Amino acid sequence: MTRDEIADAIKRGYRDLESLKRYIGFGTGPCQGKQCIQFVREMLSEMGCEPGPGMTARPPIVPMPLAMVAQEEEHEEPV
Amino acid sequence: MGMGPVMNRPDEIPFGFDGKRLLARHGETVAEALYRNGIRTITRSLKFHRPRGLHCGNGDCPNCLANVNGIPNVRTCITQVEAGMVVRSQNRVISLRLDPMALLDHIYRRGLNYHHSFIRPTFLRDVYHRAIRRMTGIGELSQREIASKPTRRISSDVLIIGQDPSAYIIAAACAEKGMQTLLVSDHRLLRGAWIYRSGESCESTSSEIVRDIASVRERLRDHPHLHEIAHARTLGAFEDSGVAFMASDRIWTAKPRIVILAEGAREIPVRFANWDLPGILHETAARELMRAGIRLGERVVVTGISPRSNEIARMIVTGEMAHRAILLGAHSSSEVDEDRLLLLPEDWQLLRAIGRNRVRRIVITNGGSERKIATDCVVTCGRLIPRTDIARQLGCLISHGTDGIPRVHVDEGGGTSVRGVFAIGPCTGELDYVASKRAAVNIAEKMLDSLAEVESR
Repeated sequence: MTRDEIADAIKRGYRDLESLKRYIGFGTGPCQGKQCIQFVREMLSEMGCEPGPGMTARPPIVPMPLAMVAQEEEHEEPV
Repeated sequence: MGMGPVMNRPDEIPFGFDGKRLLARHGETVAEALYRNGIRTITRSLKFHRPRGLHCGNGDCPNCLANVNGIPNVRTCITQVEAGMVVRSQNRVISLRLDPMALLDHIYRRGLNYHHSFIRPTFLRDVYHRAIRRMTGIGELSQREIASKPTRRISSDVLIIGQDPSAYIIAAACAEKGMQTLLVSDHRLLRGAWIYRSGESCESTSSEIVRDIASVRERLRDHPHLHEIAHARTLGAFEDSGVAFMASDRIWTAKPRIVILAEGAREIPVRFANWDLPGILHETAARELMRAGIRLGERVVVTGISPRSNEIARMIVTGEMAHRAILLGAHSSSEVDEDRLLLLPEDWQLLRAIGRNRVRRIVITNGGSERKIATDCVVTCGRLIPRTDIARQLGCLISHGTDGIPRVHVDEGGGTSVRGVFAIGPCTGELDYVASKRAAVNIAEKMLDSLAEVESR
């Protein structure tokens, strides 16, 4: 995503983090918003908008193989 | 490709990158090993096929993803290199150096809005979509079966999640007070040390942290109340199964009575045009390369927030690697070796980076005139943003300071808005290590009371 794409979307009326995300899809790529959200937040503030609280990153926070999720739960282990 | 025996020093291990045989040192990451071998471009970006390489050095950004041993999208900056590893670049057509798809970057200079492009005429939409899906390599499947063991549940009184050094301090305090303590840490525990600073410098704080952690490790060796799962990465918080994390070959879940978050802070890039070019590094990546004894470049430009930029510029020119450096936005009071460090006053700012496959030059401006500077490495000291991922999932209140930066909201006792969840260190906006240590002891005291309260009910 480029700076011009974000600026264009803000001009089209997507003036907070939540609706901008839905329009240009920032935060849905490989960084999952860890880096880009702060850029977009700054750009919104600079263009006189109220960014809002932003999104909650859903699990998994780090990428993981699906094979691991498919495993059953084994047993309980005390510390 | 075959990885037959090669003549190498005992501390060197062979690995491959796009058909080339290279040597790495034990303990370094794949991205570091590639940097040592002079390889700056590791892969290309999804949409515009821009060249990408080592950037954040912390697993946070999407720039160094590569295919490692048949598994796609591996973060090479946090993956240890192993003998015989086969690393392949991703998202490139024909070759990593010459990718015709990179022309898109020049054609769509103002960006590409997919709500308005490639939708007319409508009968061609399916053709467009198929082509676009082929272009982006993110959908590539693993060519190897991933070994995984059954998920295991682990119980404890206290769970400490963190890559921040304060995690270790509070784990010790809890275990010594007799609480069953589980510490989920990752291998980057000490990488957070430089984030803390008292006054101008972080160097003295960093050595204090290293000393503290060594002494805690010594004191708590085989302690019956402390269990550490190292090299773990937290996946998220779930209502039914508690907190889940991934370590080596399985997922663990824990539903403790008390959770302490010590997630630290993450660095974000400094904004200038082409900041994603290979050779442009976050402070974390630059520090890790220097610690591994890898030369950053011939002529390093340092930019970003002072005094961090001052400090790292000084480290670069006084280190064993004998770099030369240029510091943008320098304090007039910096005491430096003028032969090796060129200071440019505060009114000079980085405008853009230039280079086809890696940074070659930068353009700086002081508002009036512009200047071009030749460079092969740019170190950026970006803002530090508290990590709030797990806190948000647990439902903790996030507050925004006057600077608009989100942080985990805590009361004087370190408690978050959620009962039984505490937070400590840079994820709460606290960058003073001594204050974090004091908070660790306070929280441990308070927790004994909360546990007693839970038990009496």
